[in-house]
Amino acid sequence: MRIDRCYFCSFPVYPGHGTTFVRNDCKIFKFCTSKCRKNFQHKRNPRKARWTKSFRKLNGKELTSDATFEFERRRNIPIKYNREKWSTVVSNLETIASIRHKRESKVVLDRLKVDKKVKLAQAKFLVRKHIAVIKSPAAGLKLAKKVTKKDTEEEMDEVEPKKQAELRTNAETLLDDEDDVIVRQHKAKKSSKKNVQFEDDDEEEEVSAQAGEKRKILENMDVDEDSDNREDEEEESDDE
Amino acid sequence: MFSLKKCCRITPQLQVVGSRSVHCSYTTRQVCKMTRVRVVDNSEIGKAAMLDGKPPKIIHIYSKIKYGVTGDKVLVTVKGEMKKAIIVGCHQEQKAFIPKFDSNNAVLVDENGSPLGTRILAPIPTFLRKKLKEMSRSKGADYTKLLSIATRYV
Repeated sequence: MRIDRCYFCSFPVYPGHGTTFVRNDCKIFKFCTSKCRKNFQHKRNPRKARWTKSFRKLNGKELTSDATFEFERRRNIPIKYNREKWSTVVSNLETIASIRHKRESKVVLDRLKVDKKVKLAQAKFLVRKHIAVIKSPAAGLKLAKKVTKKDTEEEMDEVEPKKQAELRTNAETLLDDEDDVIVRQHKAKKSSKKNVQFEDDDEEEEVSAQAGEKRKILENMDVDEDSDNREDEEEESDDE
Repeated sequence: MFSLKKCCRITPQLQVVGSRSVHCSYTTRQVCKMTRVRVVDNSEIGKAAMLDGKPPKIIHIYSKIKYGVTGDKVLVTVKGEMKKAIIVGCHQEQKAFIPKFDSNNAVLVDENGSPLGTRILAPIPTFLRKKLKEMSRSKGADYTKLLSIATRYV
């Protein structure tokens, strides 16, 4: 009695189940179900069918090479019966199976962890993109404008105009997370492929206006944080 | 290797556009009279026939049904001679636990049941152990000699 492996999906074929097919080149194919058999008859490649083990192993979805698989390998040399050997093998079967199961599940969980990070980054980006739904971009604008005029005018006059531009761009990039950088790079790739040519002056103006608005929002966000810190300092001084 | 069928090769859903549909029965891949069979042993006559491109043709089936099944004895014409053979694998789907083959295979045998060749090249269903034993009991000829020259079982 032997538990074979289905040629197509690699599932175990227990005695009394499945079908066998012998090709004229004397190669024997065992199938667990008619599903696998019919796929084979339609000349489908099991390595391209996503639900088969061969595909999953080929594409790194599952544990491929491991010491626990050596125990299941087919040996064509018959072994003389030895009671002790037989009993030890039977008792060890369970432990081997449990170890293999643990290792296989570890591979799967490692894959899922990666997905978690990606999803978190995507979620963060979504929030940043639609921050207007949560927090109005106009919140604290008036206050901020007053503050910027006072501070930056005093500070920026001391700095050269070239540096002023640099500082402004740096402020934007500092706010970026790794996620935003990734997203921006992705967008840059997309835009580089398309050669955008503005047909009307109006379009240009709109795009530049949008960019200007974004910068303003970023600056305001910066400023809001500072204003919050200042309030804390005042409170602390009062307490003292 | 191929076999001439009594029934038509066309699928039953043959439909002529704009007129009545014609019904035909499915291709059954049965082994019957006039079917050509692939010799699977290394007998001289068998080899020569397969090389010529004129495989042996069944002219009579030794069973009460008109159609042959794995393990049936069969009368066959090879190179102008009449010989007996045993069907060792069918293209048609057989009963449970009997594997399906890509072609209808046969092993040439003499009247006493001893095979003409010395080795069988294709895998043979283990089901034959039981069936050939039953056959040999009833007729006095020993057909199980076939199994001794088999190289591989399925």
